[in-house]
Parts: sequence; C-alpha cells; structure tokens
Amino acid sequence: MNFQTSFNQSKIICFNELKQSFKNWKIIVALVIYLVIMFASLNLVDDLQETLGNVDFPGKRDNIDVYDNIRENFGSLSIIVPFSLALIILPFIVLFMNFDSISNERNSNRFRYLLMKTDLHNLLLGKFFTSIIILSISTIFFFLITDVHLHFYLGESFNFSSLFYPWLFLIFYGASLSAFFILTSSFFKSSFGALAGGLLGMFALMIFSSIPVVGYFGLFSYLKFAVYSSFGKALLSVVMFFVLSILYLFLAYLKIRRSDL
Amino acid sequence: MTFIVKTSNLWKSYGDKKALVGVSLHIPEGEIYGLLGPNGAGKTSIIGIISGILRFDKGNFSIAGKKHVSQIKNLVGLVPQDAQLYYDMTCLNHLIFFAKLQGFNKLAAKQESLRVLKLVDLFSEQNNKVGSLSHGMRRRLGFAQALIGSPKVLILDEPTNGLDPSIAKSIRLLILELKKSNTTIIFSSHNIYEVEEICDSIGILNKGKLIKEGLIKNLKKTNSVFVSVRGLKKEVIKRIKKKHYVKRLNEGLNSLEVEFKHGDFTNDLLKFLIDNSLVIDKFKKGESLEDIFLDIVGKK
Ligand SMILES: Nc1ncnc2c1ncn2[C@@H]1O[C@H](COP(=O)(O)OP(=O)(O)O)[C@@H](O)[C@H]1O
Ligand SMILES: [Mg+2]
Repeated sequence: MNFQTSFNQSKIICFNELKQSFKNWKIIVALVIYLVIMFASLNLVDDLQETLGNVDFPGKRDNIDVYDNIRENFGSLSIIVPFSLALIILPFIVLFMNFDSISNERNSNRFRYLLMKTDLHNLLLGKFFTSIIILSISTIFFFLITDVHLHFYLGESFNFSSLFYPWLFLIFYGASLSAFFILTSSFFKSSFGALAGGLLGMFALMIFSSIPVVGYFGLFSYLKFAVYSSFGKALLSVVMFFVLSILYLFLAYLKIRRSDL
Repeated sequence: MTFIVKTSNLWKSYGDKKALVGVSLHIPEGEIYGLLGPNGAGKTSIIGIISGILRFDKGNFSIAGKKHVSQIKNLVGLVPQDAQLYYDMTCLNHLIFFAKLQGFNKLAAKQESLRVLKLVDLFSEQNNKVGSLSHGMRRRLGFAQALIGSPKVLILDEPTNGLDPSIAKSIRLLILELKKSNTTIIFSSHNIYEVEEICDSIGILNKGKLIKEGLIKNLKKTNSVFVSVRGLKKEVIKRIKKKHYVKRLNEGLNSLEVEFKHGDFTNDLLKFLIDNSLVIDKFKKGESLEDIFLDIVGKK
C-alpha cells in the first residue's frame, strides 16, 4: 500500500462522504443551526460596536494591550463576537455532524464492505477531511457575509485579510473536534450510545482543560489563546489542534483495529 | 483436488466467549462450498477471518497460497450478512464508488460496474436508487459489489436469509450461474436443504467446531445399517454378500454392519434375515447428512 493509492482512496471516500452529507438531514440541520446562530450574532456586533464607540467603560484603558492583540489578530473588533460564539457552538455542531460517523457504518455492517476495498486509515482520513471541508466552506461563507454586513450597516471598510486567522483557527478547532468525535464514535455500536458518548466525551474534555498539565491533551485549553493572546501564541494553538487531531484519529484507529467490527 | 482456501486450527474469541475452537477448513477450487451451521455456530466469524477483516487469536489460513491481508483482499469478494448499502445512491454510482476504491479509474470503474450489473441481472435498474429496490434486488446488488474485479473467491454470508422462498431460489440459481465462471463460492447457511441443493462440498459447524467436512455426495450416503443378530451362520453371510445392493459387510460376533452401494436397503436386509429364521435384537441405520445436522440443531 503506497502513499499514492492511500491518498486516492481517502479522496474517493471523502468525495463520497461529501455527496452523502448533502443528503443527510443531520448535517444539513447542524449547518443551518450553525449559520443561523452566527447570523443572529451579527446584531450583537452592531450593539457592541455602538457601546464600545460611545461609552468609555471602566477597564478599557487598563486592557489596552488586549485590544492591541485583538486588532493584530482580527483587524477589527467586529469579527470577534461571532468568532467567540462559534468557538462555543462549534463543539455541538461538530458533535451533531459526526457522532455516529463510525458507529453507523458498523451498525449497518457497511464497514465490512468498505474494509474489503480499503484500509481503515484511509477510511478515517476520508471522513476527517470531509468534515474539515464542510466546516471550512460554511465558516468562510459566514465570515464573508459578515464582512459584507459590516460594510453596509456599520460602514467599516472591507477587510478580507482579517478573516484569515479566525477562519484558520475555527477550521483546525473544528477538525480536532471531528477527530475527537470520530474517536468517541468508535466505542459504540448504536447511534444513541454514540451520541451520549460524544456528549460525555465533550464534558470530559471541558473538565480536563481546567486541570493543569493534563489540560494540554484536551482541546479547550487552547481557546483562551484564540482571542486575547499574541499572534504567535494563537498560531501555536492552531498547531496544537492539528497535533491533537492526529492523536485522536490514531487512537480511533487503534480502537477500531482492536475491536471486532 | 486443490484447495484454494485453507485454514488450520483457527481460534477466535470475543471476550470470554469462544466463537471458534480450532477450525481447519479445506475449500476446493472452483466449487461451491457450503458452510452449514445453526445460528451462533461461528459462520460469520470464520468468514470475517478469511476475508481479512476480523482478527483471530490463533492458527493461520491462506487463500490461493497467499497469507498477507493486503494480498488476500484482492482475491476475495465478500457479501456480508445483513449489510446495508447507501440507499440514496443509484445502483450504478454505488458500484462505481466501490470500483474506484478498488483502484479502477473513472472510465474502467463504469465499465466494470456495468459488467457486474449484467452478471446479477440488474442492468435495467442501473439508474434507480438502491432504496427503491426490492430485498432480493438489494441482495443481488451486494453480489455485484463483491464481484467487482472478478475475485477468485466469492464469499456469501447467509445470502438467502430472510428472503421469500421464490426469491431465495432465484438467488441460489444466480449462485450456480456464477460458479460457471470458475469462481470458488463459499456459501453460509443454516438451512441443510438449500446447502444440499447447490453445494459440492460442505463443512458443518457447531459451537465453533467443525463437525464434518467433505464432498456432499460422500457425506450424504445413508447407506449403512448395523444389525444385532444371534446365530449368524457363514452360509447366510455369504448369501448376503452376493446381494446386488451390498457394497461391504463387516461381521462381528453377534452382529453385522452392511454398507449399501446406493440408497437404503435396510428393509430388504431385515426381511432376508427374518426369512432365514434369525432373531434380530436391534438395528441402527447409518446417519445421513440431514440426520447429522438435525441432530446438531436439536430439531429431531
Ligand atoms: N462482535 C461480537 N461480540 C461478541 N460476541 C460475538 C460477536 N460476534 C459473534 N459473537 C458470538 O460468537 C458466536 C459465533 O457467532 P457468529 O460467527 O456470528 O455465528 P453465525 O454466523 O454462525 O451465526 C456467537 O455465539 C455470537 O454470539
Ligand atoms: Mg452469521
């Protein structure tokens, strides 16, 4: 099994998963909820802009470096509200999209068909890439609309380059979440079990994050760097998301290899 | 006879549950091999192992001399038990997807898909959604999927299970048809009658053990009887030996065992003994395949 075949098979799986996704009500519903919440947040942005513009609230001066960081990372304050909101709802969206990605294949016995034709790692990578593609398309779509909205309602100038960092961050964040839910899904045979397992896993990750050292194996520890820290640290989080994705996928691989379909 | 699939002393357990306890199968090339056993006998487990998708604890197996999983997968086409397909794809796209995974390029994948659709008689359904097909047709599509790339060994796990008798019959006819292309077919079932109908060889599995294996025509002979009888004389035995239906005769002290050439001549034999004023204490017929199997599943 050389790299070329492996890549091709992952690609074929990924295309097929994408095609299936657009017919899958769960994924459509998840994406619609995601986008609706994000759009709703734009009103909040409008309000926030006004508030920040008019009131000189206490602490604004003290946190001047925070504002500098935000400006450096985001270009302006306007993206930050939907961005922060996305950080919170994305785990749920990704959970909803991915919770039965493995358990469903198993349950329907389709796993056996697929594993006859390709190797497990290609299957996992294919599924992983699919959710990256779906998330990146919907997120960039959202950010573009946001920029247009801000331009016409608040008169800000277009600032497409400022979208790149939040977009990149969300993609890698979402990707590592997908990998995590692929992992939790591999422990279950029924859809319901997988959903419950995914939720439990998510809460475990949250609890994890507040424990010192161990927290770095969870995802949520890196969120605090997303908004308030320097560009370098924020970029490090992106790298960590990537590393964790690989780790979760590898664990899922081991788990499935060891179990009896 | 050359064996294309050989397993030797395969063990498999799920946790504490032993599913296979030292199974050694010998599956002849180009034939239909029936893997017969009641539910839970271990059929699906053994099929999973020889398709290279299930781990096992001990033993080994080979297909056409190959032992490595990556080589085996190209030799085997599997139709898993109760497997669902992608219901909202068309039959053709469904097959094209699998053909591409198997390494066919775009054009070849389509040609190959159309070829296997013809083989299973679903050519006219190519643009229909899988979900709109009947159960029998879905089973056929499963076959088509397994036939992509003309595997040397086609493995069917209970392909007729849950189908109407007439549709099950048509599936069996399809299997006989596929045999003509010199494909070795492994066919698992818990139904002795359908196995007798289409298989050449058979392995009977129960509780993870291989009870019997061989050509059906050899296993099938019902034609022996064991009789306890007093006062047998050399003379009578000589005359029995000359009967047209007797193949072999073993004599004991107060008993004899007669193997018939074909069919069951127990009645003729007993009548002959009685006519010669001999007292028969008891007799027991040799077992048939059906007896053996029904005895195992406890339906007798
Ligand atoms: N995934 C599994 N986990 C636990 N036990 C299993 C699993 N698959 C099969 N078994 C058990 O192993 C035995 C053999 O099963 P199987 O190979 O499916 O038999 P068959 O296909 O002949 O019905 C059964 O007792 C079954 O309960
Ligand atoms: Mg079975």
